[in-house]
Amino acid sequence: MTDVRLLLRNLSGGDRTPQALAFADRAGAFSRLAVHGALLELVTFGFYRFWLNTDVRRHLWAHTTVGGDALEYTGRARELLIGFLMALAILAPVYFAYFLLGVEAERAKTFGSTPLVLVFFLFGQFAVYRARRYRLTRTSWRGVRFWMTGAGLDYMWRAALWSLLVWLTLGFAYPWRAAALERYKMSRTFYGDLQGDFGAKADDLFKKVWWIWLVIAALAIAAPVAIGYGAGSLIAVAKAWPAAQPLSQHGGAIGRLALQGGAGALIPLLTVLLLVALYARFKTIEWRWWASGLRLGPIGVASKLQQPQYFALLVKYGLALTPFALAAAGLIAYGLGHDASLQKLLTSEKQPGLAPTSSALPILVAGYVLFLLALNVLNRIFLQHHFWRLIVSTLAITGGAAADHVAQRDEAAGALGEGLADGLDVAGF
Amino acid sequence: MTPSALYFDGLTSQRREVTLKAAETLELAQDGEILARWPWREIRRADAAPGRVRLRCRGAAELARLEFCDDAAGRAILRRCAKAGDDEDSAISTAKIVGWSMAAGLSILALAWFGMPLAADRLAPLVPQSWENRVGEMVEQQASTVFGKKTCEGAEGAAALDKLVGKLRAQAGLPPAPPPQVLASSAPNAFALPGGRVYLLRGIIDEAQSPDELAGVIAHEFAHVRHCDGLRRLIRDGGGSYLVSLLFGDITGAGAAVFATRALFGAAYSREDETAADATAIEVLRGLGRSPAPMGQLLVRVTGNDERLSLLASHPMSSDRLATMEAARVATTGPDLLDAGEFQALKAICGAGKLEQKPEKAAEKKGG
Repeated sequence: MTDVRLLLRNLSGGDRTPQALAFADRAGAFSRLAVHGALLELVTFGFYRFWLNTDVRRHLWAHTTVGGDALEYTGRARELLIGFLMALAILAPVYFAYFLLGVEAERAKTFGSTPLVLVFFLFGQFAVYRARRYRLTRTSWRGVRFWMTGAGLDYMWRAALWSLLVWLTLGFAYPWRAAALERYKMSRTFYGDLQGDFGAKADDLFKKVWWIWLVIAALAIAAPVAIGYGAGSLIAVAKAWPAAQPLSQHGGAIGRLALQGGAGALIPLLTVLLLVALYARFKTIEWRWWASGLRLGPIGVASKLQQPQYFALLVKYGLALTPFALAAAGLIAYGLGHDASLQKLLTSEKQPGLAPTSSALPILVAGYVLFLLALNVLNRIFLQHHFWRLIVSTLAITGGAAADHVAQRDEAAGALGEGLADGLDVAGF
Repeated sequence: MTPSALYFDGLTSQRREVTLKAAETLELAQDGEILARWPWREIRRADAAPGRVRLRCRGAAELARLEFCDDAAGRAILRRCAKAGDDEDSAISTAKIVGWSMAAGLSILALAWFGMPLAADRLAPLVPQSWENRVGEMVEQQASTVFGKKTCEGAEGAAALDKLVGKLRAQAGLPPAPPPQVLASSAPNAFALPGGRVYLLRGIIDEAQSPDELAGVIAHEFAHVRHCDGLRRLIRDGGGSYLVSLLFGDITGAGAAVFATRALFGAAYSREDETAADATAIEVLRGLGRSPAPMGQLLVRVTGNDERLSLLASHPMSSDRLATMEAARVATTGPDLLDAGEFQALKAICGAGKLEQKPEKAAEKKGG
């Protein structure tokens, strides 16, 4: 019998040691899904998103194996659609009341209605909790479901108060907020009859990241200045270039211009890259800290995620997006330049050489749609698929033997949370 | 060798290796003991890595799964399951999704494009005066943010303006409203808010060459108030973007589509509103025995003879409006709306006198 078991293990294709997590899918399969889905979303005024999100989750879950056994996403698009309709029924009167209140607030003081936005922030936190519960209860492994207890409203108030504290402390209270909320969520998270917990301490995170926050704040102020300087330099070079011809006579001037132009382009780029690198560092540290705190009964998690990996992912995402952004900007600029009515608005006389069309609106729209489609697809590919793959490849489970004898508990939750999150455009895990 | 598979019973997480026997039902056995019998017609496929075979059974525990290590064996079993491919949960085909979504989207857009103006037409006259006044107050706040809070308070000019506005208001049949204000902005514009309060900007007073010209502009604005144009636009634009943003959620593109459609809605219907307001203004002026032609002349002087044709232009071309006014020209039969002295005082309402700031702002300055 032992030989057969060994044989089975070798044939199964997955590493069956209790600790291993793996993600393996066919190259391009997800990209096809993302592109196909984005086009359908466009054609269906966005309604296809329920099916696309479900398909994405089914793909990601099914290709992730823990101890050789795959996860399974048991949710269906129909549930998301119903959740959305329920949320609609709730949000429709809320939006209307918000509008009426806004009118009253504006009567008292201009822009007095802006604090009402906080109401939607609260809703968003409620939605985050409920959406997490929906996704967890639709996740099963080895035939046993994950599930959650706790009330969305409780979480909402906690999250709101902690956010207020973070805001008041200019961001420094963030580690304590993260620890408190994760503890709340994880202690109410179950796998079968294994209860979750969160063991990481806020102090640990704070000690590692406080300096990053200061540097990012400084850079966030410096970045617009750098970009402004860069743009200004490039424009100055463009203006001075004709006067610096021919090359033979004005070699020195050309050299100076080239240096100025180079600096103008390089400095903002470097600033942005530095910001991204710091962000990657922060997120990597936070992710490792978060993983180290997760518990499900005796089972723990460890992450080996490194900053260069995450930074590389973000840079690749930016590089992939750039050609589409440039193409869209080009189309929009062309459209703006050729729109007759805009021309009249901006100039008192016609520009010689430009042939105005009656309306360049279709070109503007095409540029905008192109960019949004590209953004949609690349977001899914890089920030969902590649990110998921990266995380799974760097995670390891400890104490996994306990996972062999877990008993099934509780039922699946409704999709109202997902519906609200969708209606309020809130993301969260 | 009887095929083997991995079995998860959906009650605990234990992984069992079972042998399979194809009989009346699919029998799953471990160590000779039959763990489960799955009827062939109830077996369905479950999600798995591509190429792998994973099965579930509709009568059994919801999460019970059978996973095949040997793909060939898995496919052999699959062939015997008549309905393995049926997925009742995801029964809707993509074609249906696309079809119904397009139908829903188009009907929402049709509702917003056709239905909202109709609803606005019906609802606007029903709005009580007190509500209308509230809306006017709200817009007032925003207007002073845009144009500044400085008003012109020359006493004689204000009295002249009051007289002019009073005559026009009476002729237009509007209820009493707060007194008109002149804002110290050089833009040549005038507007009336829901509730009936009139604002003139300094620029248009400077451009006017006779009381009839200003009267025409004010009468036009009063016409907007009488037709509830501002309210209607609020209901129409607000309702339209409310509908669109609700149903489409916040998918990328909907926000901008809303803006774009709002601009178009605003433009297309404004032209009708403007033409109707012109017609009413002509009626009011003729009722007072004055000719509407001067109003057209002021418009042309202020906006120039531009030829904006694009969909986004909100006013009809000034040359068209001048033609309308000229066509409606009548001999002057009524008395002057303002005498020469009063008109001069009005022209000087900002220039000669001091520019006073609104009381709140002055108090702010003192306190600050």
